[in-house]
This record gives sequence, structure tokens and C-alpha cells, in this order.
Amino acid sequence: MTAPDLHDQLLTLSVEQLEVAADALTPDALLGDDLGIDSLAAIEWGMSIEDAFGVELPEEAWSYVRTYGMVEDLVKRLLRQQASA
Amino acid sequence: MKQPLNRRVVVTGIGVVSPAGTGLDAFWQGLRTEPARRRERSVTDFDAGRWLSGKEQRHHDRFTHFAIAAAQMAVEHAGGLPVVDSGRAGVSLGTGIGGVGTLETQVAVLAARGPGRVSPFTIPMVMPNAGAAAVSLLLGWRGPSETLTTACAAGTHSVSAGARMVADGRCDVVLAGGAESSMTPTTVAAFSKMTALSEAGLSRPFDVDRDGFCISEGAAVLVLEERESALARGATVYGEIAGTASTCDAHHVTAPSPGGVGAAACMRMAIDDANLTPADFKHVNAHGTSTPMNDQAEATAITSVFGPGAVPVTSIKGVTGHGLGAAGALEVAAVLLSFLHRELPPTMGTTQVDPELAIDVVLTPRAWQPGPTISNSFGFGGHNGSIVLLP
Repeated sequence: MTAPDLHDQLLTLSVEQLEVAADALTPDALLGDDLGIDSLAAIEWGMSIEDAFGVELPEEAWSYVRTYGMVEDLVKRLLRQQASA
Repeated sequence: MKQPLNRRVVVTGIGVVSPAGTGLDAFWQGLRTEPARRRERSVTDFDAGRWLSGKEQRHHDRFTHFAIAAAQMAVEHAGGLPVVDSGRAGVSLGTGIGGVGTLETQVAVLAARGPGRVSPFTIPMVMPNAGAAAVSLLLGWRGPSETLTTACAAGTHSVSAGARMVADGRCDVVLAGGAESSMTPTTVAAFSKMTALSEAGLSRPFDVDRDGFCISEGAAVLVLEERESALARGATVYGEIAGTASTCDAHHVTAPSPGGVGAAACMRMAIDDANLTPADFKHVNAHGTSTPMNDQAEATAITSVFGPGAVPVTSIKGVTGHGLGAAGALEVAAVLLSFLHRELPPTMGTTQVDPELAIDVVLTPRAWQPGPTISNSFGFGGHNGSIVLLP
């Protein structure tokens, strides 16, 4: 999967699941303050990401991931790790 | 503890989601229309999208969808409901089983995909108080928000408990009612296995050929207010809750006490609570499930309290089926509409009243001068609830 593909697919999934506007999903958007994602919604969103991209998010991910961009970077990194494994 | 104030409680708004129709006009029309022969009576005209976004729908069980919709319809019906102090605005919303549909879905997810795929929303969706919580959250009401679960008596008990919140002076306004959506493969199989459901798919309360109930779903929520302040704001009053009672048979987990003595005791207590006598009553809105045992025990109880054939008896379950924890609230709503339309809705489905039952079952729409009415609900566990309504 190319980076633009991943970007678009994550955006589509997130717009649908989180019910936020696509232009709100900027790299710096804070998950809680800007996007209104609480802890349960984050876990549910993470499960959808896992299903869509075939990755496994580390359980502690939500304790350090703060922005939408960090989520996208995490998915990219996990896919890279998977490809090189 | 402080002494209660014994304030008068009136209903100023009604919201209904039911297999007989969603919204008051459709509901009233549905109560007077012969239903299709169906053992499972789902709500078919409900559009959750009208009340909840896709995300909200995903995060609430269907019984909470119904609760939210019925509550919003009731508030709208009450017209310009003033909530001056949100700490004195309460919710009393019962259910028989709660979000069992969500639980069944997640059990299947667990079996197929393991614990890692179980939704983090499972618990807040399944919990029986989810409906009450969602309504309080939606409206920002910070008074009591409580859920009674007394199986099929939960609706009546919850309306009664809500009325007490107003009568006692704890709340100025309360949304009270019941919500249920638990027609899952497992619950239907379980009710069927205990031979509670009608094999014929006919709900025919007090009929000589009755063979069980038709399971259903729905919700009804009422706006309850203290009478003087409701009148002062110019609210339309649809009826008064004048008395309530709650008892337990302490006889058997599912069978009613012989001779309906528990039901009779409950009715007598509610009548006394309303400062009335049985002779004052013009209508009994029966639990009338269409099971052989309930209808026999309830008819005996009605006869023992009011005398043989002394008061017209209706059961709307011929149309609505049995909405379990929503039933009692739907039936209070039906009584209030029968006040408004000055007509008793017929006991649909019933063609030949069991000759062993000495009660006057209303079989066709009957014009009446609205008067004191008692509505009964009885639940597995031996829970009895009766509520007295005045026009």
C-alpha cells in the first residue's frame, strides 16, 4: 500500500466512524480536544483500523498517541514493520 | 428523612414507539386496527436516523434508541417544557431485560474472533440503565435518573416511581416510562421453550382459545409535572396519576398466585392510595397478556375487587403484543389517549371471551365518559404494579 492510498483509506474510515469532517482530520488535530474522541471511541476506532489494514495496534498506543497525524504515522510504521518481517 | 409533600402529579406529554404505531396518531389508530397474525411483533415504522446519528446508533442498543425517541417525542408533545433547575428534573425509565441484543451480538463476536474484537461499548450498551442514562445525558437533566427492572411490570413501576419523585417534591419534572427491545433468537427460544408464546401467533387476551403472548418491543415515555406549576405554564394536561401500588406474590417465579390474590391486593392498595373506592372506577386497563394463567388470575382478581362484570376491561396487547418492560408505560399512554378521544380501544384479537371469566371485556370501540382507570402490570418474579389514572 502506498502512502497516499493509506492516507485516503484512513481518512475515509475515520470520517465515517468518527462522524467528523474530512478537513478536521489534520495531522495536528488533537484526538480529544479537536475531534471529540473519548477513550471508548478510540478503542473502537482502533479496532476498525486493525480490521481495515491488517495490523495490530499496541495496547498502550492510546496512552501516547495524541494527534490524528500520530495515528497515521503509527499505522504506516506497523505496515512497514510487517512488510520487512 | 424529610416528609413527602404529596403533591398532585399530571401528565403533560406523551411519546410512543410501538408495533401498533410510532407517534400518538399512529398509535391510537393502530390500537383500533386488526393486526397481522404474528408471534413476534417488531416495530416496523421506526427510523432511528430521525433521532440519532450513525455513530450514536452504533453506540446504543435498540432499546435505548426507542427510549431516546420516545423521550424526545414526549418533551416535544409537552410543548415549551421549562426546566428551570436541571437538578430537579429526573428520569425514571424501566426495562425488562435491557440490551440483550447487543450482548448476543458480542457473544457471537467473542466466539468467532476472540476477546480482542469485543466492542468496548458492550457494557454501556447492555446495562439496563442505558436508556435512562442516555435520556439524562441528552437533556442535561441532573436530578435522579433511575431504572427499575421488574420484568413485565417495569413500565408501570417506573411511571409510578417517576410520579413519586414529583409527588414527594424531589423533582419538578420527570420523564417516566419503559423501553424494551429484546426479541432476540435466544429470548424468543427461551420464552417459547417455557410455552409462554402463542403458537398461533395470535394475541387474544381473555379469549377462550388464548394460547400465549406475542412478544414485542417498543417504548413509551411520559412527561410528569406537579399539577399547579403545569397549569400555571398553560400546559395541556392529559391526565393525573392519582395512586400507585407495588406488591409481590411471593408464590412462584413465573406463575401468578392462585385466585390472583397478589394482583387483587395490589389493585386495592392503588385504589386506596388514590383515595377512591372500587365503585368509582370506569375502566380497567388489564395486563391481559393472552396467556391462559395470567388472564385467568387477573380476571379473578378484577372480579374480586370490582365485582363480576362491574367495570369495562380492555387489553391493548391484542395489537401491541407484549412489550415486556415497555408494556406498562405503553398502556398508561393508551389510557391517556382513551381519555382524550373519549373512547375505549377494543381488545383486538379476542372474539369469544372465556365463559369462565366474569369480566366485561371491551371487544369493539366503546364511547365513554372518561373516569378513574386502573392499569395493571405483572412480571415474572411475582412483581405486581397498579397505577390509578384520572382524566
